[in-house]
Amino acid sequence: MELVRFSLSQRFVRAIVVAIALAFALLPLLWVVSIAIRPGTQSVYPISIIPTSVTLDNITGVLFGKTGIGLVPYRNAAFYGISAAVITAVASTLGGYALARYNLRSGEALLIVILALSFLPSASRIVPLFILLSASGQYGTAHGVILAYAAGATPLGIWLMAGTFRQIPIRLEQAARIDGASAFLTMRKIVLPLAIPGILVVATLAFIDGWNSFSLPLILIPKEAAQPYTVALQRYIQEIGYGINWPLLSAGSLVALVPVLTAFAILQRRLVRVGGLGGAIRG
Amino acid sequence: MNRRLLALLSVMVIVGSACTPAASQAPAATGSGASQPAATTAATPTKLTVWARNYTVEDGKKQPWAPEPKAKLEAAHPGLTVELSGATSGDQFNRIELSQAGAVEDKPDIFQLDNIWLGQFVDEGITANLDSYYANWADKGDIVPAYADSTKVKGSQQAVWFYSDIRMMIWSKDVFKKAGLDPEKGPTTWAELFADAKAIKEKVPGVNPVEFPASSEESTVDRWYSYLYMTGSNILSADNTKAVFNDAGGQQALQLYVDLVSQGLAPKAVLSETADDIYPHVFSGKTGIMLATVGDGLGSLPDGFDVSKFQSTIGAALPPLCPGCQPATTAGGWMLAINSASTNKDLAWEYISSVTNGANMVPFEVERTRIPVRTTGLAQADAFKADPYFAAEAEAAKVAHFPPFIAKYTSMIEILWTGMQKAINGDLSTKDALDQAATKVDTLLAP
Amino acid sequence: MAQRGPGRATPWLLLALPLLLLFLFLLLPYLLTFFYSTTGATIGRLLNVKEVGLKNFEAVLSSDAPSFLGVVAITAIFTAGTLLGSLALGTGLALALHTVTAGVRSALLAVFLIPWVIAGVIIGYTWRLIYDPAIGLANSVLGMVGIAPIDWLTEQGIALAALVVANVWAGYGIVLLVVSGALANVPPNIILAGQVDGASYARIVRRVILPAIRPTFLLAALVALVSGLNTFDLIYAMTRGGPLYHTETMALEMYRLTALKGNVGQGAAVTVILFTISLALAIAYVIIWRREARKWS
Repeated sequence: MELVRFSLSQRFVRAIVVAIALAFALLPLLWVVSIAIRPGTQSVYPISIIPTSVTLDNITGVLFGKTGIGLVPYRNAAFYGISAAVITAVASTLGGYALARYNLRSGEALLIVILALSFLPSASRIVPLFILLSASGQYGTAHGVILAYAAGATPLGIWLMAGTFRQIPIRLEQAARIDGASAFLTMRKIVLPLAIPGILVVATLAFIDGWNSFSLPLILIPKEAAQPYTVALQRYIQEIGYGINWPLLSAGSLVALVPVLTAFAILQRRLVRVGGLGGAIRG
Repeated sequence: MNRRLLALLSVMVIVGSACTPAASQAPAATGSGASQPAATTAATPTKLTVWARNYTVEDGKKQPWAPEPKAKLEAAHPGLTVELSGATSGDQFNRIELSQAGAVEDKPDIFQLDNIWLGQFVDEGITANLDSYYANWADKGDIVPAYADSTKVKGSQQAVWFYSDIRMMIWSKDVFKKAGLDPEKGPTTWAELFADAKAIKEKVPGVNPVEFPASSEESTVDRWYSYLYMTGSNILSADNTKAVFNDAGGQQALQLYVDLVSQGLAPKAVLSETADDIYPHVFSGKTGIMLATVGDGLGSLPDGFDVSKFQSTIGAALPPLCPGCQPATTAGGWMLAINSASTNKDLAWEYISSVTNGANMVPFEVERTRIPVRTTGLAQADAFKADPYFAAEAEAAKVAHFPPFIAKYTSMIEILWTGMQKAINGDLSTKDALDQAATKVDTLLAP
Repeated sequence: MAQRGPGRATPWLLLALPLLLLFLFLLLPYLLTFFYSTTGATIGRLLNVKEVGLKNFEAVLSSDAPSFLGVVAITAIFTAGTLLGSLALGTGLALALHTVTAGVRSALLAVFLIPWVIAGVIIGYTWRLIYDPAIGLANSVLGMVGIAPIDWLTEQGIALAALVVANVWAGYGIVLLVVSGALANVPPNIILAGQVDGASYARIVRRVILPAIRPTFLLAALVALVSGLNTFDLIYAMTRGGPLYHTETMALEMYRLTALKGNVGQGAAVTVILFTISLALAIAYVIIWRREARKWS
């Protein structure tokens, strides 16, 4: 809402600030798009800002071509991300409900410890995770990595779900119980439907984190066929003797952006609302 | 915390940790294992896992593994599949190391290793003792004598030589032409090197006259050794207990690098470059001279190059000599080892034996300009003539030196490249940088 | 509020699953890291390790390539740069957008948040492309105004600054989001009061708005600080810690020692140091959050 009446010069300044910020935000991505959609022969020095011709060859090349990484890495990332999202949603709902509804003496302290854990660098739990998984014979398994993702996203998830449940009036549950509904039915018919928005946010955040994860799968997924795109795209940087394959790398990055930007677009309004509660943490 | 919860958690942890499959064993603390090759397992093995270097399993190029040796093995053992996977050098090292901790399904039966890793891997118990296989091996006498003993660690055979390579200097003929230099003649002395580089700097702007790897990884030291050896110096003393690379010869060799950078003939950015970053620059004409590369570069052609285009683009020769120095180059190469945890050792040996056969290796070695380690392979000189610089390489092989085959080699080189970087970056004088590195290496090697 | 449900055990039963997950895959690994920092573990020898006391810490603190002080300085500069950049950009934008109509604002917010959901390595590749000496946007723009190309990521004096810009791009969105939320909660009457008194907008911002959002602002600062400290993927994708360790933060050093050098013990020692710093920050975050929560509940 416009509280303050701005002079023309003030509006102008404001417009400039926003314009510069927009340029800063979008130009890097637009450049990636530009390299991805122009033929490789145009991605040489000296480079023209506007490409003279466009092609989809790089995108088809990275997905289906001989030197591409294929669809498999993206499928892997999706599988890991969705699985982690589901587990995170379940764990967060259970934990959040317990902490919201029950006045546990240690509940507050528990929440704090859990949240503090998520502040720590996720890269530093990789080697111990590697050791734990190897010692129990689970190294290289999909569930090992998925649970690792879920554990990283659950602290924030519990915190968000606790907040969500606290906003659901307990009278609703009490009324249902008085009417004779079992605890289970109450959950299913009354509480969960109201909690869905929060659960969606938690699941989406967990999916995004899983989809974007790099350092965990770098060490925990040795088999090339099971690696997500974040690790697979590294190949374009390390290829012997060919320099960095920018057209394919850019195309591969673009493909990776599609699912996460879609998920983000769908849920951004909810994210903005929830995010205002104190900020989400990325590790 | 609630006592009940504590109990619940403890139970779960105990139950969880009890589920340790018998298959994943802790790596033995002892060195070269005395494990005998396992008797053929009762069940027919279905898979033989081979971890190789990526360019040995590249589609469309000659491979030593396939198609014949692979088909032969699979035909002799119905139901068996040979699974080949390739990796870059760094990834290969890492995955071999990591394989020790993984479950049995993630361990290779055969793995290809750089000869400089052998000491460390034997120390860690990853390799299987191959003495009994060598004892009955018909091809044993075919191994070139210079290589025969270097697969032995602590008295027993731990690997099989696969193929070797040497280092040559390469230059871009295109850049030479533009600089007014004779494209067929590379510099033969250090003085000529500087003169050529200066000519390139003046006449061909935008091109780096000289490049060499100086980043924090192995190719930095590997591509430098030729210049160390030619001065008469060495890396370690004859008994491999003390560093000698800081003697006058070593300082002279490193000073070459320092001078090239300080005179603007090599960019300081070399400190971030690996050998793999640099040699495409020579092909594309971004750099004039690369001081040392594996073979003559023919073995890893970038897209768009074939043999004929190669010869008109690249010149190759032995590294140029300092005054009063002796021709020298560095030898490297790859070996094959059987994983000590493998349950298919006999099968693995059968495959290795057929893959490393002299005649089988030649097509791969020709295409990738690698040096045969078998007399039968070397005898096929005609096949190698496809490489325009084969004669030069054969001569170079005669003056090739190997790095020391010790377990601590891989830790040692980090100290060495750090010292080199300090000198190149100007943080320390050449003498101080090398002395500092030598002291640290001596400490590292002390028993 | 009395407990509900079938009995005292219910909350703990509900918590069992999440707590087990967190214990096994979050807490235990960190505890193991502490253990490994006092052992001579290497990638090749992870079990049956021998105790070496504080030798790993000694080795890390006395290392000279890179020097520990150097790594700390680089970490501090990178983190501070990210923090200041994200705060300045995020807050400035939030203030600018605060007075824009709601529909336009939420559309703009969505756009500015895009970098925040992109994978760290993808951001790294994106900016590595921007900084590429040959085909990067940065040098193309410089070329248009006649400046010679710069080696953004291989020039020792510039690389870290280049990384900070990329990390600010990655992180300012969340600061923007949080501060925007806080600004929206500022009671309009105190702003109107300022206006009525005839104060300029700048004055109102300084005297009224910023103090009102101070707790949230501090929270956003802490979040930006922590994420700067933990940044790994982006730096790995762009420089791997080079050139010559000039972008090697503690997170990178931890990775290099553990995965590249194979020295798990030393990598764990660096982790412990980083962990201690992060923990201190986490405690600070929680203290401020509780203070804030108490104020507004």
